[in-house]
Amino acid sequence: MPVLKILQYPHPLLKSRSKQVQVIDDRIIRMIQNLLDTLAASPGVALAAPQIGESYRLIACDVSRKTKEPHHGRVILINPTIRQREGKRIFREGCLSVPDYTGNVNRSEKVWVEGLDPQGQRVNLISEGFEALALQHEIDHLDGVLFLDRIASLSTDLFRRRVY
Amino acid sequence: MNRFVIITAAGPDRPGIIARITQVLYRTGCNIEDTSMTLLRGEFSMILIVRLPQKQSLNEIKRRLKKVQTALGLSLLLKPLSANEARRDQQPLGRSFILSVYGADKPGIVYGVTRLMAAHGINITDMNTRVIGPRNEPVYIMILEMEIPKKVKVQTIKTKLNKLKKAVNVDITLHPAEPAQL
Repeated sequence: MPVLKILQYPHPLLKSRSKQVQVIDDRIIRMIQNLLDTLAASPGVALAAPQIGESYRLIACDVSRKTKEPHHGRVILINPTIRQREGKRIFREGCLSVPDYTGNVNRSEKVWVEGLDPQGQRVNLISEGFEALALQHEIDHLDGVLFLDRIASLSTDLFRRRVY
Repeated sequence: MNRFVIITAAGPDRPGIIARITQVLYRTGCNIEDTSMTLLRGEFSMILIVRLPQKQSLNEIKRRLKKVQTALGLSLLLKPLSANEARRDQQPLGRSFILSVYGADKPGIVYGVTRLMAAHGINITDMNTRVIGPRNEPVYIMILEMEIPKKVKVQTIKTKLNKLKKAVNVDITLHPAEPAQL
């Protein structure tokens, strides 16, 4: 079971848009296994295929070891999209591909995500809180977007003056 | 009338720096107002706006701070503020935006970006930068908050940032700061 190297910025794949998966063939199945093995060996809770060097729309997520909030356990999604969003929440995020830096990011509190499972069956998930954050972060990776592109504020935001 | 000073200090990090400084301020009757303090690598850096008590002489506060400065090996600067500078209701110069700039570390990233902002009268209100990643391939991250005056077209800034992005070979994102209204 190969554990692959997690790419770090400035690797160009991390700023590229990944391709749709057209057919779930042996290659994609192997890719899913690599993604899961690499995730299991990492300190993170979710991983997107471009992070292991595969520019395909494929993510894996398992927040069970990091949160007590409700979640769906191990989630593997092919060609995932966010259908609907609700609520706002600021999370302090980090990323395995951007080591040693964290930032406050605006995310939706609740997301409706659609995609395919490894058997090619359509999956619809309603996810909230920490898992919803992880899914949004990973789906961003498929579009070449890093959390750095979504920083909501620096640490002093509590006191930031506003224009009305 | 209220008198204010701004104190900036930095020195090798260790437990107790803030306690030693604020002990002096407390004992001399100063009131600590807005502050920003952070650890940069091994250097603890602090900026404090302090309201002076009516009767205390500034020299006495300075004398006591000097002792702490020597004991902890700090650099320390104390500057009186005008009443206007110390006002809490400072008017912003425009709408608040977040700019993220990141890429392979090289000289000139900060200058390239801030020169562009300065040329358009854009005011930077907060900024932090970090060098991350492996030693042989360091990455520079620069995140700043700024106020874009209403008369400046955001699209103009975006176009110029795009040019800069190509010239300096960094990734750049500009978006409005949207505080969560909870």
